[in-house]
Amino acid sequence: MPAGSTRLSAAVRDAPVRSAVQLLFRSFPFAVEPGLRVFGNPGRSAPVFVTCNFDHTVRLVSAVLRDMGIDCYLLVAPTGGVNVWCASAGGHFGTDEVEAAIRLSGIDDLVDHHRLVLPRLASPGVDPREVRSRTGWRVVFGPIDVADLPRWMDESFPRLVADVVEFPARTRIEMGLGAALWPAGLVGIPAALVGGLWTGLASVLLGYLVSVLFALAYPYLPAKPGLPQAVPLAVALGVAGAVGGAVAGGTFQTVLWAAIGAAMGGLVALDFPSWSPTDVCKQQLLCFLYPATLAPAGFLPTVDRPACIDGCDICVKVCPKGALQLDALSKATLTDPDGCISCYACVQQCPVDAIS
Amino acid sequence: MSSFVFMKLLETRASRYDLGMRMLSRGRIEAVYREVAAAVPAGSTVLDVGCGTGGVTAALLDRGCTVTGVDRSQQMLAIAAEKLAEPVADGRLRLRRLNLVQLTREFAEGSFDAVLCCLVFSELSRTEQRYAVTEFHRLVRPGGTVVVADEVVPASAAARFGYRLGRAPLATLTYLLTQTTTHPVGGLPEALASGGLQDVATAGGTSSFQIVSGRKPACRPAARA
Repeated sequence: MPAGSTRLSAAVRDAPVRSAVQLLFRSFPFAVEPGLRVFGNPGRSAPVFVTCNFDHTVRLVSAVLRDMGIDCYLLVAPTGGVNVWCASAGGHFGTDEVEAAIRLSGIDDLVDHHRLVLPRLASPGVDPREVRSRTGWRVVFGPIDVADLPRWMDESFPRLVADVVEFPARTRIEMGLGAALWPAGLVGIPAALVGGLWTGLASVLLGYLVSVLFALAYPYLPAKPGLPQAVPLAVALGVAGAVGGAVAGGTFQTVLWAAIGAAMGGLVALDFPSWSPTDVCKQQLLCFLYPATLAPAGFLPTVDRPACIDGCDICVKVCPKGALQLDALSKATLTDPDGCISCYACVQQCPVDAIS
Repeated sequence: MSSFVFMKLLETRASRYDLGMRMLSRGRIEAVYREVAAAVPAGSTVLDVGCGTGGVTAALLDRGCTVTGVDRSQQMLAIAAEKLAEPVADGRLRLRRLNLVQLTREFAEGSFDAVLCCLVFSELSRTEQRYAVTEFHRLVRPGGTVVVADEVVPASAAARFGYRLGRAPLATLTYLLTQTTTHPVGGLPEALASGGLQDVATAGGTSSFQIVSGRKPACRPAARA
């Protein structure tokens, strides 16, 4: 999920139709021109921010920077129109793209410092040491949610502070709406062909309803992502569909709606976990459909204890789930393996490559 | 030639790229590669930007050129290295994994007699295209040649309609499978001219595939001193 979607931002108010289209078609990239954006009247010590070239994110970040009223530069990296976290975890927002953002923008000639503020969720892909050796620029990771940028600039800039990803109900509704497209389409079109236009439309509506409800219930589900969630939901919706079809009348309706319900339940439950890097690899079944993530499926970080620097807590702070802690000997330890989402940020950010 | 968009699909399976390109162009692709390579003076030292599996690279080598082929895809380069093992072994061809912006720190100004860039611009944003032309201008020696060949939108309305009709299904299929697409480029000659190249001319192609070349102005020795 792109950062900053927890409130109705200026970006959404400014372009409601565009935002709505991009919400419904969230699984597609919407690319904007990479390169330089200028805010206010930046001088030679103005801060330099970097983001992806997903249109929705660029508008969110631009709105926040405008609201802050600061003079600064924004570099838009060519990440293929994919949002920050998906792009960085999928290998499309890494050191190469940061280097491209620097070169394409000509920022070297515009400021005297060499400090880039990157979105925190670019940490799975971007290697700060490699960026520095290639370009001379130092990478600083800001907050996860761009809405927190003003506070971070006031209180913490340029320090790395612990921050975790949260999916509040509002964000999950957005994700549910975006994620419904495939299940609704994959079931709705065959349903329309078999049962007629109204059956198809009803299936599509059902798809959106199930997807949003599933998204809302997701954190409270007792079963693990993948088949353990998909099978019970498919069975439940299949039975509900059969009952509904039987009430409406006829064997044909009973079978048709049982099939629609089961297919919809199964597809929604299988697809939704892959809507953030959070559970792509845990759910494993559909991994082949998505661009390879940098981490192999089911990856859990292991710390090379002799190599780990005593008291260095970069991985602890950079972990978007807070799954790593320093132990009594001041070495990093994975304390919450179930919380780990295999995003690779700790591996990428460890200054001595002690995590693999 | 409405089918270059399909390349994005083929690229995801680099090993099938050559076969796919041959099928899509109905066997004409080798001739197209030769025509593109012919825009470079024989025997030049050439930088082939986005060499891919080495289609144009092979045609350049046939013209007696010494070639440095760069591509951002390691898989494509591996295929090129396999196909062109002999020129790699005798030093006529060097293959490097580099993307567009990395050329800046890898090669000094005026390192090449010619820079050739085939079927790359259609994958780039306008910002990247402008950057590329400026960079190619830097990389060739004074008097050197820059050749850019790519898919373009046909000039005549009728041809444009047929082209779009033929391209749409392929573009849709590719987009659904890879969620990426290419954009036929407009104004290739203008892009080269605005990058400071002179004698910009269309060196061949078809209504939907254009080969454009330009020359870096040669400076008088006095001006260089």
